[in-house]
Amino acid sequence: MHHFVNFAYLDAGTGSMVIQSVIGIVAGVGLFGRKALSSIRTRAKNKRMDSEKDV
Amino acid sequence: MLPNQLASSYRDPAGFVFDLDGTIYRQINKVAREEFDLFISSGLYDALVAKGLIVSHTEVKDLKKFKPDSNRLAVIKPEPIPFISYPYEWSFPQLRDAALLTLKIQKLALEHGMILKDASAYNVQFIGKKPVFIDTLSFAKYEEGQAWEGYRQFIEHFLIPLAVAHFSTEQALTMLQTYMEGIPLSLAVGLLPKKAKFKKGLLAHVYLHERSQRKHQGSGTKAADAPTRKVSTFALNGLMSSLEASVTALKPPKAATEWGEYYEFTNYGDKAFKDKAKLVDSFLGQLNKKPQVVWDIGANNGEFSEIAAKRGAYVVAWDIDAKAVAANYQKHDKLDGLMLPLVQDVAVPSPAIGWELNERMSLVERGPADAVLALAVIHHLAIGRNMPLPKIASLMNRIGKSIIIEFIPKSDSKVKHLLASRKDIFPDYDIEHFEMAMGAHFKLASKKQISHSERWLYLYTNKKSV
Repeated sequence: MHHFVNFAYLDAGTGSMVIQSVIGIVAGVGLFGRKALSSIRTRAKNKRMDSEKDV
Repeated sequence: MLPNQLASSYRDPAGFVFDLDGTIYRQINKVAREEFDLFISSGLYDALVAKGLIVSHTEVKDLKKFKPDSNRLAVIKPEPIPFISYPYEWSFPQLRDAALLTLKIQKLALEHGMILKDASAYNVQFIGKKPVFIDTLSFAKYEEGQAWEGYRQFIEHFLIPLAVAHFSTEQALTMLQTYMEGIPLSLAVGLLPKKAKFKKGLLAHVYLHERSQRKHQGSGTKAADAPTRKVSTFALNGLMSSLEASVTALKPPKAATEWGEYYEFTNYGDKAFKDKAKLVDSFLGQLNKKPQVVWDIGANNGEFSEIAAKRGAYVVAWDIDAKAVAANYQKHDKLDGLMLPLVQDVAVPSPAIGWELNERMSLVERGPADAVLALAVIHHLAIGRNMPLPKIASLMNRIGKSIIIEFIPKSDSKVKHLLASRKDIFPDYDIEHFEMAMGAHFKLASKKQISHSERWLYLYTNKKSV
C-alpha cells in the first residue's frame, strides 16, 4: 500500500487507481516485448545484410 | 470569486484565469509555488512551447494594476485564443487529436519529472486547426510509484466518447454537452455494443475499469483506509502507450451523412457556384471595416469559409454535420491557422451550461462576429425547422454585425425537395417577407442574384455600424 500527500483537486476514484497499475504492467510488458522483438529483428536484419556484403 | 475571474476557472486551488480590460491573465497562487517553479526550472515549459503543444505566456512584472490578493504568487499573460470552443462542438478527429495531445504532454511531463494533475478535455483549445494545451497549472511533481489521478477523467472525457462515436455515429459526441464532466464509465458499459470488448484497449480501460470502480465504491470511509496501489514508472509508461494505441485504433464510423458530400450533390452548376463565391468575396470586400472574425454558420467542408480566411479573417466554420466538419478539419493548407471548424446546430445553438449556467458560454455569448456567412442555410431553418423569418433575422442580429445571407426561393429544387414530404404551411416564405424581416434589424448594403440560379445573395450591415 502506498500513499501520497499532495494538493490534488480531482477525485481520481479508488477503482481507477487500483486498475491502472494492473493495466499498466500488462501494457508495459507488452510494450517491452514488442520493443525487444523489434530490436532482435533489426539486429538479425543487419547481420544478414553484413553477411551478404561479405559474400 | 474576484469580479473578473472567468466563470469556468474555479476548481483548481493552484490559481485561476481572469479578464482585465479584455486581456486574459492567469493568477498563480502561493500554494502552487513549488509546482510552478518546477514546471519552469525542469525545462518542461520550454520543451512544450518549443513543440507548440502549450500556449506560451509572459510573466507580468507590474502587479499594481491588479487588485491586491494575499494568495497571489504571480500573474502570467497567456497567448490569446481567438475563439473558445468546447469538446461537444468538436468533430471526431478534433477530439481524438486533443486526446493524443494530452498523452503526448503527459509523456513529456514524465520525462521532466512531472505529471498531469488532470486530463480534462477543456484543457485543450484549438487555434485554427491546431490543438493546444491551455492549462499551465495542470502539472505536479511526479513521485516514483504515484498513480495518475487524471486516468479516469481521460477515459471519460476522451476514450469513451470516441468509442461511443466509433460504434454509433459521430453526432454522439454532442452527448458531451449533457455529460459535461465526461461520459461516466457506468453509462459507457451500457451504451457500447458487446463487440466493443474486442476493440483494442476497451476491455481494460472501460469494462474492467468500471468493474474496479464498482468493486471499490465506498471502500475506505477514511482516506487512510482507501486501497491504493503503487504504480511503477514502467507501468505508468505502459499505461500511456496503451491509451495512445486505444485512442488511435478508434476511427469515425463510415456511414454517409446528409451533408457529408453536400458539394458533390448541389443543384446548381459550376457557373452559379463560381458566381456565388465571387459575390461572397466582393461583399466581404465591401464591408467598411475588414472583418477580424467571421462565422460561417452552414460551412459544410469550408469551401466558402476559405474566401473569408483568404481575406485574413479568423473563420469559425460551423456546421450541423460532424462528418462535414471533420472533412474541413482534415483539409490542410496555409489557411489552417485561420480556420476553426466546429459542430453546431444553429436551430438549437450551444447553451450556457455548467455551474450557475455560466461555466461554458452559449454560442450567442461568444459573439457577435464581425460578419456572418449564412449561405444555403435559411431554407433549412425556415422550412426544415419551422423557424419564422423574423426569428431567423433576430438570431442573425444577435450573432453578427454584418450578414451575408443567401435567399433560396420556393421555386428552387432544394426547397421543393424540403416541401415534397410535407404540407406547405409557409405562406410567408418569400423574398418580400425575407427582406422585411432582415430590414427590421439591418441595413441593406447590397443585393445580387446569383447567375444561372434563382437564388439571391444579400449583404446586410448592422444599423448602428457605419
